[in-house]
Amino acid sequence: MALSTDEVLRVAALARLELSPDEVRLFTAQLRQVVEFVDRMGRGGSGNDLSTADGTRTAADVPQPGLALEVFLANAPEHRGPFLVVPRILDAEAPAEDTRRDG
Amino acid sequence: MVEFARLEAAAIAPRVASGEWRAAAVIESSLARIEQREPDLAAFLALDREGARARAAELDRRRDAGERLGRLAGVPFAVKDNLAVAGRPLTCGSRALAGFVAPTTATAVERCLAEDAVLVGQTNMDEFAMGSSCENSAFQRTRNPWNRERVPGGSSGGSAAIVAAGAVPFALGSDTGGSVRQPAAFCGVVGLKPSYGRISRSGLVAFASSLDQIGTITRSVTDAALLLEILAGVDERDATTVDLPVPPFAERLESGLGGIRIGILDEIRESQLEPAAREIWRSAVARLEGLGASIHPVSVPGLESAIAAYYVIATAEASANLARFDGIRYGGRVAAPTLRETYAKSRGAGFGSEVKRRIMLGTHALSSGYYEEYYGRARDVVASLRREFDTAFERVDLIATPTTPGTAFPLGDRAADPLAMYLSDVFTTPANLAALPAIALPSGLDADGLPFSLQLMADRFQEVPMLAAARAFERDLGFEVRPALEEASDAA
Repeated sequence: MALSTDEVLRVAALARLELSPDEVRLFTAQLRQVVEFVDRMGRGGSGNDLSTADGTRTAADVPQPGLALEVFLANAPEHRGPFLVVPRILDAEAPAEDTRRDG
Repeated sequence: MVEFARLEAAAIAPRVASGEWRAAAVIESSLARIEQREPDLAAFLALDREGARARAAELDRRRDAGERLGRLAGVPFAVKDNLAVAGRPLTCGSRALAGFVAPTTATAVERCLAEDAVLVGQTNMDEFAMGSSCENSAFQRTRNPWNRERVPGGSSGGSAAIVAAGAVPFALGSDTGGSVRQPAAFCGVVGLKPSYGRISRSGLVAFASSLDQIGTITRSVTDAALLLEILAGVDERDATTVDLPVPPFAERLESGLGGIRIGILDEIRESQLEPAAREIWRSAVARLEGLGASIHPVSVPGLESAIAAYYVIATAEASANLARFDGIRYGGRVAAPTLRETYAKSRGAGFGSEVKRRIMLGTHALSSGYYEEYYGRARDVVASLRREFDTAFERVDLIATPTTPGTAFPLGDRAADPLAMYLSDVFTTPANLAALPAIALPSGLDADGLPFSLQLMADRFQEVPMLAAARAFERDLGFEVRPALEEASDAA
């Protein structure tokens, strides 16, 4: 399955990445090559029980201190007093189509 | 002056702990070597000379007061810049995190500090650990101490270069598809990736969480064993760490190769190796046999698809893990009228080409209509690969391969060809996919004086025989980590 320019633009939108026209051209060619390589991947048997994390434990359900507010805000791109400043969220735009699968 | 820093951690720490050497003198020696090498190598993204000196002085005071110091007393070390150290910069080699200061300290770093090691700085890396040459760093190109026109490997290239240059006895790195072992191979030092779950990743910036492991870069197998003993073990802050007893790796290091069964993979053909590497590979296998191991052919047919499966799984997980760098809570923000545009512009400006490529590939592999075709299929390949390794390890104790198909390639050689760069990970990715421990160690020099490397893999949590075999090989070969640049500046 070769990737078209439109598909590269669709994937960039899903990935929330703004690309320059040069990057779109470059990535269309490079990703096509990589996807062709990946397409040659064989098929394993069925039943992909991949428990890399055998033995994974769940943490005890007890409250732990989080980051101190001043430590968090020290890395914030923009803040006003104790509040993180973010662009307007409501009424900003209609929800875009998102075909990314959960999980 | 004694060249403290060219010694092993295992040789320095007891001398500092006994008072024979002062921690301050060891650290000055290390810092002097860094000053001398760094202009050539560009291995560090951040140095903390004052912090290192203050810490050494504190260790000397504690010792003078009669306190018994730890197993890494006064040993200088560096960490790859994707491991958090509270109050220090943490960039992951990315403009997206320029100016970020880590709020916490990684468990692995804490464990080194708890044994009285002295952190000297953060090392250069491919951006977000994505790369095999260190050329994807947003900040600088690190050079190989054996030949400055060659790459040091990646993504932990800064860590490997600075250890090879004799400026610190060990450095920490991370290994998602070979990022500790491949640069160790290119720089002629020892790279250990332990079993998945052996070392806590708390404080490691996530790339591909089902594959990421913290590993060590050292000048000897002895130090790799010492560090594994210190770093291994369960950690409440990383639920994937496995609650198994930590064996005394260092104590069992000299058990040799007698009676050990070593598998050679049918799937590895000499034609995959650069011509100069073939002879070194053959002689490495002969050496293992000469040391008392028996050699057996084994087959893991899933290897043929391992690289492809790796690049699907790693990029899919990366696309999810890197979603957090959106310019909202931390990192660089490009102001825009809407939230969506802020995300896209901040990420577009913050990430370099390779990170964007991998996020795109991973997003594509997870998107509607392609999920089963790519991600599902890749997981099937990995499940088969694991079963095949399980079967192989019923017949052999270890599997030997070359670490890389060739020696360090020239700077710029593969920068424009991502697929060629990906294919250089052919021997290292299987251990990550199958959660196995693996160690890379020098196996000789080619005609150009560049190091080549042997990789030994073991079944999960079987690091003890793997380290003992590596130690036997290392002792017999007597490889000296003395790169050309080191020699030249010593003569100057």
